Order: sequence, then C-alpha cells, then structure tokens
Amino acid sequence: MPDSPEPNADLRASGSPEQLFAALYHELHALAQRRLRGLPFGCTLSTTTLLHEAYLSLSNNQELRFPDRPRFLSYASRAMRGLIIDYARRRSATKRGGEFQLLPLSNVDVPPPQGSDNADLSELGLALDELATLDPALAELVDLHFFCGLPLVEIAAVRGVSERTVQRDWRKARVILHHQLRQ
Amino acid sequence: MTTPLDPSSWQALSALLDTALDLDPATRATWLAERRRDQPEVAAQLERLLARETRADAEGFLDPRRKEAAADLLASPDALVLGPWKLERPLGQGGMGTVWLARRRDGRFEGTAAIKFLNFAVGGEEGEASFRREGTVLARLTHPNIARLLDAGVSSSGQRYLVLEYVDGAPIDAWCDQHVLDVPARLALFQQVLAAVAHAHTNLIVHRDVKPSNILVTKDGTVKLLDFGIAKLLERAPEDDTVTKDRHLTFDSAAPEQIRGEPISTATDIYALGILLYRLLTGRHPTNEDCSTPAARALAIIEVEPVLLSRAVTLDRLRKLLAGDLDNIVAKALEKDPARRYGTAAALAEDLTRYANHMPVSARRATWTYRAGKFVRRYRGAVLAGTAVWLALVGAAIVTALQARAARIQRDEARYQTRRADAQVEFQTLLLSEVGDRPMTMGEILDRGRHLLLRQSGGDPRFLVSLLVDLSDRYGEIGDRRVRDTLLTRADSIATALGAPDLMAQVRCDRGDAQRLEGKYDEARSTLAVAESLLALAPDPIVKVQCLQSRGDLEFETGHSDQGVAAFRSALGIKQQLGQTHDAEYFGIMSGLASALQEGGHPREALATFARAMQGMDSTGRGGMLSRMIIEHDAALSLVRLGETAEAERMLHDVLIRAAAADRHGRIDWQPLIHYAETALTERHADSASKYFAMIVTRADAEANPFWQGRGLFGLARAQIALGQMARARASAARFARVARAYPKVKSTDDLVPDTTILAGILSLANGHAADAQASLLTALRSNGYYEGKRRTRLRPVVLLVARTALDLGQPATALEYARAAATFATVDSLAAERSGWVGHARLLEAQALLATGDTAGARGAVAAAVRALAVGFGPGHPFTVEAHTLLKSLATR
Repeated sequence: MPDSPEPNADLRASGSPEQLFAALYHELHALAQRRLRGLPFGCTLSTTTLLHEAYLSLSNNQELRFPDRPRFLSYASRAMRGLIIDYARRRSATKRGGEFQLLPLSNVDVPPPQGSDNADLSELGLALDELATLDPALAELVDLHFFCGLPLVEIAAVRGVSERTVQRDWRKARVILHHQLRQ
Repeated sequence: MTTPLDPSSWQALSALLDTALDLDPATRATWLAERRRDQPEVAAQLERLLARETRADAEGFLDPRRKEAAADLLASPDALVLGPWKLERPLGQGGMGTVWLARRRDGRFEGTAAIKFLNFAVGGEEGEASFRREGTVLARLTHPNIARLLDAGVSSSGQRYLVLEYVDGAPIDAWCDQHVLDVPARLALFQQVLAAVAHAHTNLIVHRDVKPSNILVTKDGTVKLLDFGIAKLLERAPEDDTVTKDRHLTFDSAAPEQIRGEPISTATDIYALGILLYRLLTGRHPTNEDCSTPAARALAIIEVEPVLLSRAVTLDRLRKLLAGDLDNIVAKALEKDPARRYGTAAALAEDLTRYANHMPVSARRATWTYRAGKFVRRYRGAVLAGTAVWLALVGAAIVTALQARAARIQRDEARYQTRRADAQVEFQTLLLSEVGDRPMTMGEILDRGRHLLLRQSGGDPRFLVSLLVDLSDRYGEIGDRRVRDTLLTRADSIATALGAPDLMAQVRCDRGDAQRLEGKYDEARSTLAVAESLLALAPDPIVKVQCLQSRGDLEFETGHSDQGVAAFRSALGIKQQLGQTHDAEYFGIMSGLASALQEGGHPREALATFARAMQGMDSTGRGGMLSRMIIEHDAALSLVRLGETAEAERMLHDVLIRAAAADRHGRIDWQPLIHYAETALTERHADSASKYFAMIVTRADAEANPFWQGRGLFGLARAQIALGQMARARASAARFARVARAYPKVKSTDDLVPDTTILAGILSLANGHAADAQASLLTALRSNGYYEGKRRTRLRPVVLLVARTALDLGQPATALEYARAAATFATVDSLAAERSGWVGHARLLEAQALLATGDTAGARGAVAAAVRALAVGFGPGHPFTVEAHTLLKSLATR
C-alpha cells in the first residue's frame, strides 16, 4: 500500500487515482479507528456504515471532495478492499506474535469467510486486480458488494442501471473469480 | 489459479455469459448445444464457467449472506470465533462486560450459548478478578433454574470469556404481565426462583443482584437465574468480601446492608427476593416507589418501612388474597435487620408452600434413610481405609484387619499412599505396644491414641492430619463429639498451615459427615461444597473417594437417592482405577450404593449390589467384619420391604448374633434389634419378638430415651396380643400412648407406623370387637394420610387388618377393595408378586372375600396365588401360608 499523503491534499479536479485511493484509504482507516475506539468492545461497525460516514465526512471537507457519489464509490470501494485485506493481514501477524496495532481488533480472532482465510482474502484481492484489467466495472461491483456490503439494488441505483443487470453482472463476476481462485 | 482469461476475447465471452446467465436451464442447454456446433472451444469454456455457479453456490463463495463475514470484518461480531464457538450477535451490555449469542461451529452438536466477555474499558483488575470469580462460582452450580456455565477460556489474544447457557426468555415481571398470571401462578413461578437461590445458598453462593432483569422465564415457563457477576464465595478472605464496594449496585434491588456497606449474607438475597415477590404481586417497589433520585432511593431502603403488601394494591379481591399470611411472609423477607429475615431461600420457599397448601405448620419427620443411614455410617466409618485397627480393637477381627493392611501396603499404590499407610501402621503398632495385655475400654484406647498423636512432633505433618481425622471418626463413633471436633479442628489448622488443599478437603469431608450424622444437613452440604472445591484444586483420589462417600450419604439421606447413587458410583470408579477393589472401603461404598439404590426404588439392583458386596467380603476374608454385618442388615431390610420376611428374619438373626459378638458387652445397636423384633413379629415368632421388644424397652427406660421407649412399647404390645397376654398388652399400650403423646417423634419410622389408634384397633380385633377395630383402623389410615397416597408401604398391615375386620363384619365388598389395594401396592413393592408375603396375605383375604360373595372360581385363583407368594415371602410354616393352603384344599374338593 502506498504511503498516505496529507489528507487535505486537493483532490477535487486533478488528484491522480493513486492519490485519491491513498486519501480515501487514510480517511477510512482514521474513521474506523475513531469509531472503534469510542465503542465498547465488540460493537458492530459495518463497512457500509463506514463508507457512508466517509462520504459524509468528505463531502463536508472542502479539501477532499468528490464530484459525485459514483466517483467516490469507485475509489472508496477499492480503498475498502485494501483496508480490509490489510487489517486481516495485520491481525494474522498479531496472532503470530506481532505487536498490537489496533487494540479492539486485536482481541478478535480473524474469521474465515466460508472456506477461506486471510491468504484467500489476499488472493481474492489479486484476482480482483486481474479482473479489473479485463473489466473494471465488474471488479468494482465485487468491491462494492462484497467488501463494502452495499446491496445490489443500491449499486444499481448509483450506476443508473437496472437491478437485473447488476444481478447478472454479480453472477458473472462470481463465476469468473471462482474460475480464477478454485481448481 | 487456473487458466487466465484472455483479454482479447473477454468482450465476446462476457457478452455470451450475459446471455447464458439470463436463460433458464432448459433453454440454456439448447442454446449451448447450438454454440457447440458453431464455436466448440468457446462453448466448452462457457460450460466450464457456468458449471462454477452451482459450485460457488454450494460453497457459499462470495455469498451475499456471508458478505458480513468478510465485509464487516472490521469489528463485526459475526467475525468472532472463540474455540468451538462462533459469535452471532450481541445480546446486551452487562455490568462486567458484553454478552454475545454464540453458536457451536465444530458441528459436533447443535447448540447456542451466551458468551460473556470482560469489558476492557471498565474491567481492569477488579473487573477481571470478579470475572474469574464468577467462573469458579458458576461452575459449582448445576441447577435447572440457573443458567449453567458451559465453558470458560481465554482467547488467543488473552481475552477472558465465559460460555453460559443461553436463555431465550423474558424478564420474570414482564412474563407475568404478558401472560396475565394470577397470584397462585406468580407464586409458583417465584418458587422456581427460590429453588435456584436456595441451591446457590447451599453452595455458599450469594447472588447479590436478584432482580427481574436477571431472572428470565423461557417459553415453557422455566425460570432461569442469570448473572452471578457479583456473586461471591462466603468463605473467601474477609477483607475484600464481607463488605460490598459494588459500584454496579442497583438501588431497586439493594438491601439495607448493601446500602450501609455492611456484611452481605444469604439474608441479602432474601431481601431482594422479598422485593421481587412484592413487585410480582403488586407491581410496585416496597419502598422506592415515590423516590426520583438515587440518593432518595438509597435512603428509602434504609429508612422507609415497606407498605403492607395487601395495602399496596387497590383491587379489593386482590387485597383479600394478599392479606394475612402472605403479608407476613413478605414482611419477614423485607425486614431491615438481616437477622430477622428468613435465614435461607429454602425457609422462605417452605413458608410459601405452606401458604399455598393452607397449612400453618408442616412438621418435619425423620426419614427411614436418616436413621438407617446413621446406623450404617456409624459402622461403615469403622472400616474406612487406614482405620481398620480401631475396628480390630473393638471386635475380634484384629488379625484380619492387620493382614488386610499389610496386603494393601504391598499393593502397587502411589508412593504417597504407601507412606501414608506406613505412618498409620507405625502409629497403630506404637499404640498396640502401649496397650499391652491389659483390657481397655474403647475410650481408654482412643485417649491413649490421641495423646500419642498430639505428642508427636516429628514425622510428616501430612500424615498427622490423616491420623487425626481417622481418630476423630472413632470419637464420633463412641459419641464423644467434643473430642471429635477438637481433633478435627486441630487437623484443620495443621492442614491450613501446610496450605494443602487436599488435606483441608479431607478434614472438611469428615466434618461434613459429622454434621450429617447430627442431622445438620444444610451445614453438611455447605461444608462438603467447600471440600469439593478445595479438592478440585488438588485432586487426591483417596480423599476424593472419602468425599464422594460423604456426598453420597448426604444426598441419600436427604432424599436425593439418585445423586447418592451417582456419588457412590463415582467413588467405586475411582477405587477401581486405583485397583483397590478388595478392601473394606470398596465394599463399604458398595453397600452405600446398594442402600441408595434401594431407597431410589431399584430394589433388584440394590439386592444384587448387596449380594456382590457380601460375596466380595467373604471371598477376601472379611466375612467376620462389622461392615459385612451392616450390609447383611441392610439387605435384610430390603427384603422386609419387598415382602420376603422369612429370609429377612434369618439374616437379621444372623446379624444380631454377629453384633452381640462384636461388642465387648454384647450390646447390640437399636436398629438391628428393632428390625429383627418387627420381622419376627411379622413371621409370627411372637416369643422372640416380645423378648427383643422388651429388651429395647428396658434399655430405653434406662437411658430415658422416649423414641426407643415408644418404638419398643408399640412392638411389645402387639407381640403380647399375639401371645394372648391381653392384660400385659393393655398395660404396654397404655404406656405407649403416654410416651407417644409426650414425644410425637416416635411416629417417624420405617416400620409399621407406631400409632395409638392402630394399637387400639389391634386390641379391639383381638378382643372380638371387629366394628370398633375397623373404626380405629380406618381413623388411623386417614390420619396417617393413606388416602392421600402417603405411607402406603408402612401402612400395609393396617390395610390388611381393615380387610380382615370387614370379613368379620360381613362386608365382603369392602374387604375385597382393601385386599386388592394392598395387593396392588405390595406388588409394586416386590421383586415379583409371587415372592411377596404381603401380596400373598392380600390375595388370601381377597380369596376369602370372593368366597363370601359366592365367587368360588375367583377365590380359587386368588388363594392359589396366595399360597405360592406366602410360602416364599412369609415361609411355608407361617400361619397365613397354612391357612391359605387349607383354604385351597377345601376349594379343590368343592
């Protein structure tokens, strides 16, 4: 992951994709940290909430504002994926004796999503990068739906397409990723 | 990763996939077939990809329903996994931490649980200590009305957690309102709460936070007490435990002493229970109703006298219901002074039960098991491991005992056990050498042993503790409680100074046993609970066996035969693991098991176990030991109950002879005496019976013991009637009446209930006044609760006598009814109907009644059955057997 630039860098018109990504990553991370610290251990912090909060906080921020929600989401979804995969990695490092970086999270044994573990999450990340070279919209759909927890119907609304189309794309993305990841 | 997709053909492939995914399966197959003709390679790839959708579905691959697992990874509970538990959702925020609903994920069994975490933010050291305490406390509590502790652990990151039984229910007050429960239903629910708290109290655990939100009621109406978060162990060090510093204290369920910072006791829970009952019945808090600020509420708890329960409601009907006893019960629970409240939840429960049954008082009766167990225990103690020499000095089995000890030492036991045994032998040898040839009384021998032990400064203090405990047992046996307690206290202080939990446990198990023998069951229960928790710290199999025996005897005597059976079985299991299946202790446990089985209604298993114990003892050279005698005595009692008195009488006679031989002065314990005499009377050996009853009366007179005076006179009078000595019988009956009036406890017995009315009935019958006799006997049945299903076994002779009087009075229908009832219950209480003398006697009376109604065929069948059963049960020479035989012959010729 690239180093975070100053969050107040002006990204409105000219931010490069890397800069936007880094800024969003930083913002999400900071938000997550803040939220988690304020909550008693174990309280739910859903990624969807986090995403919405990031959007609200950024839309009030003169320095770091996206022209529209779709553009925000397309960057934020990738940032979220990176964030989650990083957190998972970090936690597995903690489990192996690495130092505590996030106290509340370090109390958590990392969950395997069905038939999966941290390594799988990283591989999923790689497979998504690969898919993004073929079909960026499809990869972004996975980021939004799987990593950000955005419902398909909401994604359809953001993209201005029918829900049926998004559903079909989701199925398509799944078979492709399954093809990439499973024998 | 499999074959990467070709970027150049992606657009085309993507479009084809779109089409295929939109088609239903049938159309898709046709469509694919067409593609195969045009572009076989593309079609093959399409098919491979499409096939993956089914697999992906099956695997839940990127499943939206599982998306939380990954997407909500950041801090989602769904992601948490603890050992075999997967956390599902938070249930709430408790005083000490967050509670989650969890599900087992190893698939071994379906199960949900509530997992309680220590809250890092508010936890700290104090919180962590409390958390750990809760775990220890809860692990000791197993009760249907207490949420169980299933597991406790530490997560990989060091987080402590408890896995508790998950209770899906509503708070008790809400549940009552939702179900619009009436007062009796509310009281019934409250009784479940009391049962849970009483259980905790007997385990020395005070809940300290009894309130509706901690008491859930499940859908099926079962109450579950939750959250022992601030419970504490009463026996813990005083400095941090007698005074509450609880910041989480809720004023609405606090007792005055909690507000004042005074010591907490079981009475604290009683107060909270009083508040709960008050709330359930009136919907109000007894003192805090009009207070808005916490300070005012705290003050009200200390200052304000609760409004009388019945005054707190407006409905007249309800007010009438609550006035009186219920008012008083609640008021007593809500006394400001803890000492004036009910001492335990059990006492409160008992009062409420009495209220529900419209009973002012319920007299406790000593049970058969209590006294029989006392007798059994008295002797069983004499043959515990390592103590055989005491027995040897009492009886004649000295050689056997020392051989047994030597043999045991040679066994491949753990080194410590061997050394412990060595120490005992050394001590015993020393003692014997000091005794010399001079005849000494038991007391003298014990005193000498005590002085030797207390003088002993060298040697291993661990062994000293064991020896002191053994010695204290012997003092208990000769009835010197003072010295016994002194020795136990000494043993305890040595064990405590050593900081040896196993020895401390040993002392406590013994003390618990002593308390049990004195009938202090609650104390015994508490003491044993402490012993068991100490033992959990330092498991010592030998001590564990002793404690299990104490536990078994306690459960068995307090009516929990099943738990008694379980404890004895565990003890036997440990002995088997130790390879100690031939020592006296092993057979002693076996006899305890048999008694518990007998009491628990498993007569067949009981007898088989008795038989195994007796055979085992005979085959290991212990046939002459006292414990062998005890077992035989108990087995005989089983047989009496089962209606096989002919065999029982022989065995009891044997026991009498052994008991007399075992005692220097030929003194026999009350129990074998009375049981032999009663059985002899049933067997119509009135001579022997009257001799032994007279012996009991004489000895009881000398000791001024009204219980045994009563028991003896009741038997003596009946024996004298049987002998036709009517004048003496009347004199004995009159004496019995006086004793029974002055000492009602005489009635508590396992034999025929000693009752003046019964005696009057028997006298009337003997004098030919059948009508008077019947009236007396029916009165006796009624007053003893027979018609409510009580004492059926002990009253069966009376039922049979009623049938007899009915026959004499020309009431065959009545005779038939009572005879058949007796036959039914006696059959239940038999190994087999055709073996029970009671069944036989009942069938004989039934035959006579049937004959009186002219049903010869029925009579023949009944009397044939009677002959068989009487011949086995009461013996072929018994007058009833002869009578039945004669009747059968006369019917055969008709």
